[in-house]
Amino acid sequence: MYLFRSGCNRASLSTQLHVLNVRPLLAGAVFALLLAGCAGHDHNLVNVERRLAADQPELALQSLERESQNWRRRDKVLYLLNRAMLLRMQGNLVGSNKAFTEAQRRIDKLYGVSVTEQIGSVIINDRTRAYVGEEFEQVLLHVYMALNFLEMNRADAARVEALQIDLTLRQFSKKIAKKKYTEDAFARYLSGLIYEQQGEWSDAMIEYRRAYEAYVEYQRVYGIALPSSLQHDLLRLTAQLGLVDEHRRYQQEFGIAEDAVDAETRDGRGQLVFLLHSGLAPVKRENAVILPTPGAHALVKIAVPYYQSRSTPAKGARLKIADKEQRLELAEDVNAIAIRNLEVKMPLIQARALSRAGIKGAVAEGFRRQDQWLAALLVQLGGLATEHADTRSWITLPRDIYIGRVLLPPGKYTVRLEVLDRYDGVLSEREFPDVQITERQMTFLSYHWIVPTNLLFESAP
Amino acid sequence: MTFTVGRYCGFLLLASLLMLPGCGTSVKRMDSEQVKDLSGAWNDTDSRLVSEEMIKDALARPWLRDYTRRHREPPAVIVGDMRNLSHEHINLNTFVSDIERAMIQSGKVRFVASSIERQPVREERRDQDLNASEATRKPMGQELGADFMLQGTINTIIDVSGKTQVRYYQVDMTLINLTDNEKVWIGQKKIKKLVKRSQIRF
Repeated sequence: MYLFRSGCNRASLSTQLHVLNVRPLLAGAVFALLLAGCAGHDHNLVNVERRLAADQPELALQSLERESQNWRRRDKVLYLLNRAMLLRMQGNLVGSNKAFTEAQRRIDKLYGVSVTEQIGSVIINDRTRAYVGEEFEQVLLHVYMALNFLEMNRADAARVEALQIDLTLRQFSKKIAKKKYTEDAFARYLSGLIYEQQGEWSDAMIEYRRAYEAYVEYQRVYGIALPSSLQHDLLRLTAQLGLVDEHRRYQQEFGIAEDAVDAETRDGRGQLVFLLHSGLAPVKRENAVILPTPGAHALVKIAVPYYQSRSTPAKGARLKIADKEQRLELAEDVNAIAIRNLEVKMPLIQARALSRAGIKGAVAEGFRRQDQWLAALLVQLGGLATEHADTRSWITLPRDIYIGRVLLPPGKYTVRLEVLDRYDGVLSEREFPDVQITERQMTFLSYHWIVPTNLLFESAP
Repeated sequence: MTFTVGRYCGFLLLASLLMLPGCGTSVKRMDSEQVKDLSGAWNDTDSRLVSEEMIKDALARPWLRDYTRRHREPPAVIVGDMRNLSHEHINLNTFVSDIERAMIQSGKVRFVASSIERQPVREERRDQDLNASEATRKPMGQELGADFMLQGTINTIIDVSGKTQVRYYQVDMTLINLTDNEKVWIGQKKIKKLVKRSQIRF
C-alpha cells in the first residue's frame, strides 16, 4: 500500500508548488534534478572483475578502492564485503575479518525499514536503498569469517561465527514468511565441523542433521547431492551418540555398509579439510524497456535486474596427497542460490519498477495537462535517466564451493590440487607445500580458483 | 484525480515524517543496576560486573581461609583455560586481568604467570644464564608452582523473535586444586538483556 501512498505524495508536492505560483518549469527542473542527484553510481565494478579474472587480487583491490571512492554511505557494506573477500584471497586473513566485522556492524545498524529509502525506491530507483546484502550473502559473510579464523587456527573464534550463522538463519526463518532462502546447507555443515573439532559431539550432530535436511532441499531445488563425507559424519556421530534408530535410517538411505563407516578409524590420525572456492558468483545486470504511457503522450522506462552467470569450465576437482587421491564434492552452488533468490524476489522488484514508472508518468502528465510542455519534458527526461535496476551484489563470492576431507597420519604433507573440466581433464593445478596435519585435529585449507580469461573463452557455449 | 487525493497523501507523508524521530534501537537492561547500553552486545559494563562479582565471591569463600590456615601462606593461583563459548567475540582477558589485579592487591592470593606469559620469561632466564653476571643471574628451576588453577567459560543463550532479542550471558569460573583436582570454588555471574531493534529507521 505504501507504494501508492508515497507515490501520490510526490505528485501532490509538485501541484502545491504550482498553487504557490512557483513557476512550473522550475518545479519540473527541480524534480528532474532531484531524480538525477539521488541516482546511484554504477556498481558493476568492471575493472575489479577484470583484474580478478587475470588472477590479480592485489590489483583488483586497488580498483575497488578507486571505484568506490565516490560511493555513498548506503553502499558501504558492498564495498566492505568485496574488500574483505579480496583481502582473504591475498592471504590477509586478519584484515579480511576486520572488514567483515565492520560490514556486519553496518548491516546490524541498517536493520529495519527506512522510510526515506522506501520513498526513494518508488520515486527514483532501487539503488537509493542502503545495501545490506542478500540473505545468502549475510550468511556467507559469517561462513568466510569462520573460515578465516579456522585457517588462522583460532577454533574458538570460528565457533562464535558458527553461532552467528545459526542466529542469522534463525532470524530469516522467522522474518521470511514464504519459502525462500532460509537454510544454508554448507553453512550448517561447516558449523558441524567446527563443533566436532571442539569435541562438542551433540552440537555437531545437530548441525550435521540440519545440513542433511538442507541438502535434501538443495537436491530438490538445485540438484546438489548430499556430500558423501557428510553421510559418513552422520553415521559416525549417530553411532557415537547411541542414536540407534537414526543410525539405521541413514544407513539404509545412504547404502553404506556398517564396516565401511569405521574403516578409517580416527584414532592417531588428523584430518585435512580442503575447500575449493571455484569461479565467481553471478553478477546482476539490467534489463530495461522503454514504453509509451497509455495516452501515448510520454515515455516511461522500466528496469529490473537479472543475474548473469559467469561461466566456468570447472566441473570438479581432486586432491593428491602422498599416495592418496580424493575427489572434492560440490557443497554449495552460490550461482544457483543467487539466481533462485532473485527469482523469488522478482514480483516485488517489478511492482516497484512499475509504480516508479507510474509516478514519473503521472507527474509529467500533470504538467502536460496544464500545458507546461517544457516542464513535462524535463520530468520525463529525468525519469528516463534515473530509472535503473539495482545491480549491486557481492561479486567476489565464488560460484561454487567444493569440499574434500582426507584422513591422514600426523605429519607434514604436500597437497596437490587439480581442477578438472567435465571430461576430467586437468584445467589447473597447484601445490600446497608443508601442510601440517595434527593428531585428532582438523587442518583447514582454502583456495580461490578464478577462471583465467583464456579458459573462459574456451568454455563459452 | 491525483490532485484530490494529493492533500490526503500529503498529510500521510507529514504524519510518517513526524513519527520518525521516536524510532531507534532501544536496549533495556532487565537485571542489576541501570546502565546505558548502545547495541546490546557485550561491553565494558558487563566485563566490570563480572569481575566485581567474581572478586567479591572468591575472596569471601572458605577455600581461601582453609588454605591459609593449613599452609600459613597465601595460595598461588595460575590462570588456565578461558573459553569463549558465546556468540560474540568477547575478550576474556579484560576481566581475568581485573580479577588477578584485585586478588593480588588484596594480599590474600598470589598469582603465577600463565603458560603463555611465562614463555618469554623463561627465554629471558635462558638468556641470563649465558649473558648475566654470576651475582644477578636467576637460576632455572626456581619457579613458584601454583596450588590452584583458575578456569572459566562464557556461554550465551539468545532468543530472537522479530525485532526483540533476549540475550543471556553466563560466566562460570572454577578454581581447581592442582594436587587433587578438587573444585574448591565456583563463581558464576548471569547477565540478561532485552534488546529491541527498531523496525523503522530514517
